[in-house]
Formats: sequence, C-alpha cells, structure tokens
Amino acid sequence: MRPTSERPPGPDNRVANEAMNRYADGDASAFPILYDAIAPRIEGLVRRRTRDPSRIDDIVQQTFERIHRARGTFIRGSDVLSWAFKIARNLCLDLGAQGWRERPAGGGNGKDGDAGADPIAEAVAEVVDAERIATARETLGRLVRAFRALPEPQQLALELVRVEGFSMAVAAENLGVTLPSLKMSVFRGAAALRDAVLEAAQPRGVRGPSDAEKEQLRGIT
Amino acid sequence: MESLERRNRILASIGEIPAPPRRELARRQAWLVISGVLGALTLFWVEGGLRATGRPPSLVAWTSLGTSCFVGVGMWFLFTRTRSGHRRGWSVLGLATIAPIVAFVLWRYGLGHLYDLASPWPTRPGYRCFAMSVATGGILLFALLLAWRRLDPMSPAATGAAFGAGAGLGSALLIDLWCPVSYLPHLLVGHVLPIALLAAAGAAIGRRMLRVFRRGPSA
Repeated sequence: MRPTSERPPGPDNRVANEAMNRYADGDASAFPILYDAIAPRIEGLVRRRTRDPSRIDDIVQQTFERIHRARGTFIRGSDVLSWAFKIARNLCLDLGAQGWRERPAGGGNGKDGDAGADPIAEAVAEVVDAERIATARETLGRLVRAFRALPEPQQLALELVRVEGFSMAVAAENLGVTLPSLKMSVFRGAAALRDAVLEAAQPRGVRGPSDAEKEQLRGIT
Repeated sequence: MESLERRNRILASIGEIPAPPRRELARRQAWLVISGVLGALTLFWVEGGLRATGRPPSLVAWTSLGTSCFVGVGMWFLFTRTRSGHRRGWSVLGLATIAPIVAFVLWRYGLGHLYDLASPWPTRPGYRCFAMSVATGGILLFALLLAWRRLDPMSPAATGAAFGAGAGLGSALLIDLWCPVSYLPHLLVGHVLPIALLAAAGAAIGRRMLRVFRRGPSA
C-alpha cells in the first residue's frame, strides 16, 4: 500500500472542483457529487481532532453548510478541498475540538495510552502499511507523543503535506504562511519526529532501529 | 447507516439556507462596491475635489501617477485571493499595505522636496486630511464589508483588514489630489494614519460582519 503522503492529486479533487464550480454557478445537482467526493476526507480531518461522534457530525454538517452559503465566492479553478479543510479547521477551533492535543475521553494522560485507540495514532496509521502496524505499535506510540510535542504550525504543516497529500504551495496558502516558512515547518517537524523516535530507541541498548523501521519512518516523515 | 443519514440530513438542510450563486452574488457585490466608490467620490467633490492651487500641475500629475501605481499594486495583493482560493496570509497583507505606504510617503516627500513644498506648514497639521481620509475610506470600507457580509467562512478578520487597508489606500489616492502639503509629519498624520486605522477597523468589524453565522448545535 502506498503511504498517503505520496498520494498524487487524485481524480477525486478534479471531480470535487468541477462539482463545486457547477454548484457555485447554481447547479444544485452538483452538491451531492461534491459531498461524496470530499465528505470522507473532511470527516477524517475532524476525527483527528475529536472523537465525540456528535461533534464530528456537527462539524461536518456545518462545514458543508458554510460551503453552501459561501458558494458564490468560490473562484473558478480554486481547490475546494483546501477551502473545505480551512473551514472545518476553523469550526473545530470554534467548537472546542482542541486539535491534536485533545486528550482521550477516558482521561488518559497521553503518555502511555494505547496508541491504537488514539485519534492521532489512527491518523498516522493511515500512512503506514497495515501489515506492519502490529510490529510498529511501540514506535507509533513514540511517534504520536513526539507529534503532540511539536509546535502547532509544524503539526498543521505535516498534516496537510504528509497526511493529506497537499502540495507545499497549496498547504502554505491554506495555512496563510509563506512557502519557505511552510517548507521549514515540514522539514523541522519531520526531523523532530525522526529524532524523537530514533533517540527513544537508542537508550534501550538492545538494538538501533531496524531497516524496516527506518524505512517506515521515512515513509511517515 | 449513520453517514447516509447525515448525507441526507445535510442535503436537506442546505436546501433551506439561502445562498446566491456566483453570478447573482457578483452582480450584488458590484452594485454595492460601485455605490461605495460613487459615495466616496461624491464626498470628495463636495469637499472641494481636485485642488491644484498652490502647487504646479506637473507635481500633481507626478504625485498622482506614482500614488496610483503604488496603490494599484497594493490593492491587487489585498483584494485578490491565491490560486487555491484563500485570502493571502497576514504577512503578505501587511507587506501589501506597508510597502505602498512607504513608497507613497517617499515619493510624495521626495517630489515635494524637489518643488520646495516639503517645508513645515504649521497651519496644516493634517487633521483635515485625516478626517477626509477616514470619511472617504470609511464609505468604501462599509460598502466592501456590506458586499461580503456573512460570506467569508475562512478568514473574516484578514479579509476585513485587507478591505480596510485597500479602502485606506483608495482614499489616500483621492486625498493626494486634494492636499498640497508634502511636509512629512502632515503626511504621516493625515495620509498614513487613516490607512492603519481603517485596516484595524476592517479587521475588527470584519471578524464579526464577514463570518458565516454558526447555527446552534444540531438536535
């Protein structure tokens, strides 16, 4: 399975952009197409910020309602997914979904929690070959903790570029930062994740990271 | 199934929310913006309009030409959006506001110096220009905010600030035709301060006025 981070601009985006263009022109029949094309990815973005099903539901619904209200302002040729992500992210903040730092509902402290049950771990798991998840569970836990420790701009940059597969330029526009700044965030974030995982592995004295683990880390970071 | 239920609910809910399509919205926005421009021009002409008295016509022409270029470039960055449809980031908006202002002040002061008009002018501290700038720019800003009311779900404060700065730059262009003073403190008080004020007002008002209303939590 290819890591999500390597996903090229898929046909979904083209379909979504065309549907949004038609919808902005007043073609109501294009909305269901738009919904089907982008709803799962919006839900994924929201799910990484909160695990409360009713809140996820509410944010996804409000995202589409806002897209609908502002459809007349959509510029032909723009990227509707980038647009939708920014709206959803704003809504997450407005509605108190505290992003990656939100703690599990069960009151876990996030240090030794079960990585597999964590929304961040689930997100990271999307970019890891499914067959390797079991053996990489511990590494993943360290990665999750390291990710949580990153400054928010680096988290957002890595999420858009490495998890969602946006180009650097589109991600920079989405986050309202300059391209060099975005590149620096991605680079520093990735380096911090790599260092955190590798450093944590060293003191055990048993072994360094295996080739498979290194390859896995390269895929993630 | 939950997601199917949600899909149906969303499809039903958007049918109840009025949302003008692109062409209708563009027409409405064009009317509002044109009204704002005409309102600002009317106020400008009521207050005396182009005043070339006390300065050579060539100076008026040169300063206006330069100011138009700086304002035009600034407005382009402030009012247009990126290729992916986002408002430009705060740093770019700030640069698009500050750079034309600095260029305008240097250009105006430099030309005034060449024509011996940059000397102190105690009777014109800049308050009249300040009031005129805020009034004309305020009309433009109000029209822009009204045209985009409840239509920015992404960055309403940045959009408001961009509109405020753009309106301020537009008014600076008008005031440039009105005011013969090139004394630096006068330029700062009467011509530059209103732009900053309008940008700040645009950000504060835009945050509330441009954002898409959030409905209550779903039942």
